[in-house]
Amino acid sequence: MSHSPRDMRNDDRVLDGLPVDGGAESLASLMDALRVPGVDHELSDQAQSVAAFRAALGAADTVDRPRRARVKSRRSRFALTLALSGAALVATSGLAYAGALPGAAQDTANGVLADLGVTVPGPNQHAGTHPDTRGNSAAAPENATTAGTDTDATGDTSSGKGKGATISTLTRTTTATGRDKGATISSAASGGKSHAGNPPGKPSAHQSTGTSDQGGTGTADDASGGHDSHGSSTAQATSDGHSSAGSGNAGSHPAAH
Amino acid sequence: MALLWRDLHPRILRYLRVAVGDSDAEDLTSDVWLEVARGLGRFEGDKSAFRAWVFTIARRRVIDVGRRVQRRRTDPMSPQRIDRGLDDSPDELEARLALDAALRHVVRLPRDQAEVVALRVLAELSAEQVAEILGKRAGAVRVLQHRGLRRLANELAAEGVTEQTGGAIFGVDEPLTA
Repeated sequence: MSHSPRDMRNDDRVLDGLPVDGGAESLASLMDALRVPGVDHELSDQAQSVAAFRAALGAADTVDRPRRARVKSRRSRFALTLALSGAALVATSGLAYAGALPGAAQDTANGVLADLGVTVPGPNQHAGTHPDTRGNSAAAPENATTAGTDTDATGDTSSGKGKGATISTLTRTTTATGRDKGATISSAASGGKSHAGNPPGKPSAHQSTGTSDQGGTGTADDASGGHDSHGSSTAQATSDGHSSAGSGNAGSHPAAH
Repeated sequence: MALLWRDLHPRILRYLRVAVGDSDAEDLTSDVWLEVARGLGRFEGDKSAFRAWVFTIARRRVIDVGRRVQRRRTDPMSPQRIDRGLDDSPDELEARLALDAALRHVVRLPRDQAEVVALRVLAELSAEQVAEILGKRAGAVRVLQHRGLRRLANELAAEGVTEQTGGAIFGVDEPLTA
């Protein structure tokens, strides 16, 4: 059996309820009879059927509600995570911009944000090599120029072990006792900067002058190996005669600083 | 909701009368509506897609019934329905008789042809949509619909229904124009 395109087109028109060529009107009328709107006996149960449909719809909605709630919950968690991530990014960027991150973190932030075209300070020089030490520009000396070279800030890790052994030996071997022993050890441990051992009420040369590099005859003498000719006189002059530097006190308390 | 039901319910019922016969059609139609209610929240698409989805559900119910029992394609115009129709108005009765006669013609077709014609006309689906529901190719559906229509035309001619007799295609004993 062959079906010409014309036959096929006519078939579609009959089935779609469109006007047809002559000879197919009876067939078209048969199809129209199939399409008539619902007759009474088909629609007699409308009220009951629609009510049952609504009830089933409500039941289906109730069943679906927990699933929808889970979906909504997942969406909420995602939104919350997104918001918190955004807040963390903003906060971190702000700290980086202020240069308030720890050294290594500030260095990382500097590199990352530089890629994005944002300029933030690099790690504070005072942070040195301590990745977890917060750089504090307020504590940095004005003339500090090279990070990691200031042994006062970083500590001399290479000599730290030997220094500890020296102090330990000194503690065991010193003949000084009481306050003098403490002053001796403290002075050695602090590199001559300790005020320990100063008699109460007697300011040191350092305290009187405020110039650490020049104050204290003990310090001056120690630092110069006894060649500092200014030690006693400077301390004496700057402390208005209150300094004990350069006296026997200085001799017994070399760590006057 | 009521409008949707009034539009679709008769179409589903008629399709099922063609596919499984009068005895199961009404119960299956109720099942289809329940399934539509359950799945409505997941449906996405336009009016045509909705109709295709509903008739896909109806078609699945037909398959389920076919698995349980041998197909029972009974005469759509049962005595009980004729009795019920006695209370109808003349216009209503005429429409009912015309509808039942048309369904009876379609029911006599081979099953695959009958389903194609019913889905194309009652569900107002395209050949492609019908092909998807039946799991066939669109070309195969077009062949089936052509064969079905040709057979229907031959039947009408055999019954003496000609273009000159107008509404006599409904299968009543006496042509309406006689």
